[in-house]
Amino acid sequence: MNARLWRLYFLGLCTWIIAFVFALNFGIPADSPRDLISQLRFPRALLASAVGIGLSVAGAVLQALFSNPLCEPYTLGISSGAALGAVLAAALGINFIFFGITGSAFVGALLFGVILYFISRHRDTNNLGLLMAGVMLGFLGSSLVALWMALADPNGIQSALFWLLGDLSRARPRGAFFSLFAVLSLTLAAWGSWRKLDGLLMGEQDALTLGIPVPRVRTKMLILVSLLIAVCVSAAGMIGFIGLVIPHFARRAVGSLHQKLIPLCAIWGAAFLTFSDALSRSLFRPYELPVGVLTALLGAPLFLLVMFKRQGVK
Amino acid sequence: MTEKSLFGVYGMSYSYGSELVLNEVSFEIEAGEILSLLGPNGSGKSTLLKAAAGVLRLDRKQCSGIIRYRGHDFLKMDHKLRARSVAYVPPAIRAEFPLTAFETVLMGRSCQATTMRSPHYEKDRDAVREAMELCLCWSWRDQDLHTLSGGERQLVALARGIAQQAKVFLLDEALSNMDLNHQAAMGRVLKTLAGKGCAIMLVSHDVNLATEWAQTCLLLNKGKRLAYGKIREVFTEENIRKLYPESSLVVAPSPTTGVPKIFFGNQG
Amino acid sequence: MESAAVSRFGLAGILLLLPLCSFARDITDSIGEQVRINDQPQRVVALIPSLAELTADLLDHSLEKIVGVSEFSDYPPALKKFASVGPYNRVSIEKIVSLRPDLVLASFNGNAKEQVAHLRELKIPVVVVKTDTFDEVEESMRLIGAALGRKEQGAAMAQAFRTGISKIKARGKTRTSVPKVMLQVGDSPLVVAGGENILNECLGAVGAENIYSDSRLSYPRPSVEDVLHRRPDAILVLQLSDSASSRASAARWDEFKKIPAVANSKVAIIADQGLLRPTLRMIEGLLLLEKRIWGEQ
Repeated sequence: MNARLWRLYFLGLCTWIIAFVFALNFGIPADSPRDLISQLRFPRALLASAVGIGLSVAGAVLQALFSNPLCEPYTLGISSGAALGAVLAAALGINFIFFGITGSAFVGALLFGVILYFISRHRDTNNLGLLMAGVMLGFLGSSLVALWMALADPNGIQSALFWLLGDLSRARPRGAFFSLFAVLSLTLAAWGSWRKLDGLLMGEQDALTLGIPVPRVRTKMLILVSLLIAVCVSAAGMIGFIGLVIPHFARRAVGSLHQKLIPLCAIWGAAFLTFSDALSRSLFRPYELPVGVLTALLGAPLFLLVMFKRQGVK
Repeated sequence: MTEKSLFGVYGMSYSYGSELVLNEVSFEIEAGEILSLLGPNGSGKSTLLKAAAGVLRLDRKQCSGIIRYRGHDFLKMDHKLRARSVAYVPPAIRAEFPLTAFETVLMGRSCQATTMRSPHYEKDRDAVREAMELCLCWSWRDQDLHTLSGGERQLVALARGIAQQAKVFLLDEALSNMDLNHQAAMGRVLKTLAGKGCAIMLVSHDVNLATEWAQTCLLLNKGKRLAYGKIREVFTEENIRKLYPESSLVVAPSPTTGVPKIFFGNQG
Repeated sequence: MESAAVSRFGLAGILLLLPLCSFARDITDSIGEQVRINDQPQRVVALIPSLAELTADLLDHSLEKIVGVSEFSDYPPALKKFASVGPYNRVSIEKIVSLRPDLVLASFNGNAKEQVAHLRELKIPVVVVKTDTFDEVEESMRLIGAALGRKEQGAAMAQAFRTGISKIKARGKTRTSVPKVMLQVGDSPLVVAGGENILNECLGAVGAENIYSDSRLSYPRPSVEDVLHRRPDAILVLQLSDSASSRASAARWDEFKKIPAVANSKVAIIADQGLLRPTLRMIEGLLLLEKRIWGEQ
């Protein structure tokens, strides 16, 4: 491990700490009960970090798994399952396992994940087939969501609507700690498979000839990614952009090998989302911008800038 | 089936959908042997190589075949062991992600290592260096794959295969983009590997190149084995005309090495 | 000697009176939750404009007890100067917490239930109020009156409301026909008052029939074809924002001559004078509704 790499990690961690402190302190109205704000803001910043880690790592794993740089956590349609679960629960007024929308979104995501699992275990499925199945599931899920929203009483699905756009405001202390713990465990598991993920980068066929048991790895990674997405999306709704773009930024900094890539994705993902969430909450008080909108507004120009700089150098 | 053969494929049949692409093809290669696989487009050469590498699934309809490595059932071997035994070198490497040449060759080592070893593990680094120096790509090891030409990428692919430290090499059009210098150099590399006891199977568009180094030859026509055996016995004008009936081809010995070569006849 | 006796008597008196001075009490809100609130809440936050109006009415001249309202709480105009906690369908929990309220008033159907639950978890007293029927509106006046420590005012308001409604209902019963009315609330897409809606009850009170009373939604979105099928005798466009858009909405029906309402020129605009507010203004709104349907009295 060279000095440049450690510097990069260190700077990333500093950025995250700064973003965290910013999230805790920026824009607190005068005369507020100090500890109550920490009760609200601290779990929220914690959850933002957890979801930032989860989504960027899931994005990196999926991009390697399908050797496709355009993949992201929502490609496989698992998040559509979560959306479907959330909307159904809100419309039917179900409080699933006392966790409300979170619980039903989690179940919905897992259900779609299980469907994909069985598809991937089928003898005739290869990576492309699985990808197509995932995309189709995604369409199915979002169409069902749209259908339900058209038919149901708008009042009943109000809260689901906000969740769909990305909503970290429902963070609670216990839930946030649990999410962080779950995401970190899953990230460690993904990190442990770095050699297998590396081998998949050049395609399914090359991976097989390099000695990687592709079907087995695919199944294991699918389970990991499903769980990651289920945890993140059920807690915070659909926050886009991070899973697609953070791995790209990280690869430009440390290359594509996952032993170095995954930790950097985690650090940058956490910092980016924590910062975006703080902004979304404070910019137009008391209106809250959906954080998914902010991540795209911040990230897209940044990404384009980096792309054009690269072209210039070439 | 000879017990002492290093690598053998027996009764290989494969179909894409309903179309039978390979029909009961068999061959064996020994240590130190270079076998060239020849045939027109669509004759199933690439399919045969991929099937031999264990990449294609044989439990589908109309597919069958046995692959043996040192007498063992190749498809039942552990994945990592397979990669340490047989290396498949593709015609091109996909460069979707930023990867340096060094990192690409390093992936050839994943069949050797246990999980958490660092990519800077000395043994891996030394093996990668050795393979890349052999393939003349060590000096530009830190360049991104995107910036390399097709031929340079093929050198990297070959280095990756060598880094696997396998005993059997299956080269699928692996030299087709290289310039003459590199081709000549790689030819010497293949001879060196064969000299160390490896077995090599070579598919090449450039027929004359293949015959330069190979001792044996398998002619494939529409998925069926047309001829198989030593070059001078198999590489006859009669057989070549059967493979390429549209062109008037002449087979004559090379003026330098005496190895049979194909020349275009007077087209009129 | 005498001062000692007085002080002992005073002390005893205070001790006797102590049980009568409860500093907090329990209230049961519209959804059956027990909420512990102060006797006289000093920092009230209303999460929806209609409840803000009701609160302002009940507090009368003590409006300074309100510390926060939702966006667009503009009636009475005095409410505009209070801090906003965000739009009613997604309030800012943080803003509410920063205002340190000792009473929060929420609407059962209007505010997000998740957010109400969150506020309760943070130990903030929330009274949830239902206002979907006349009975519920009457009850809410009593409930909020009690919560604010204005029990008598609340009860008096509820009584006035009940009397007003009864008079209108009595008149409604004397009508010889029951016109079928459609109450339009939105355009592009067409949104109407449905069955689960207080507007439904309003129409019934004035002696008319809501053509969408069979819908289980509170604001269904029918197609124009469906409206043609149901043949309303009158169409009332509720003016919620500016008059120009309401006029345009009304004018859009002109081409459908098959509808009895259009044929008999019974398409009218009705200004929202409290028809949707659970306060005494609803009575005024009902009177206006009556006038629009039956003409001048």
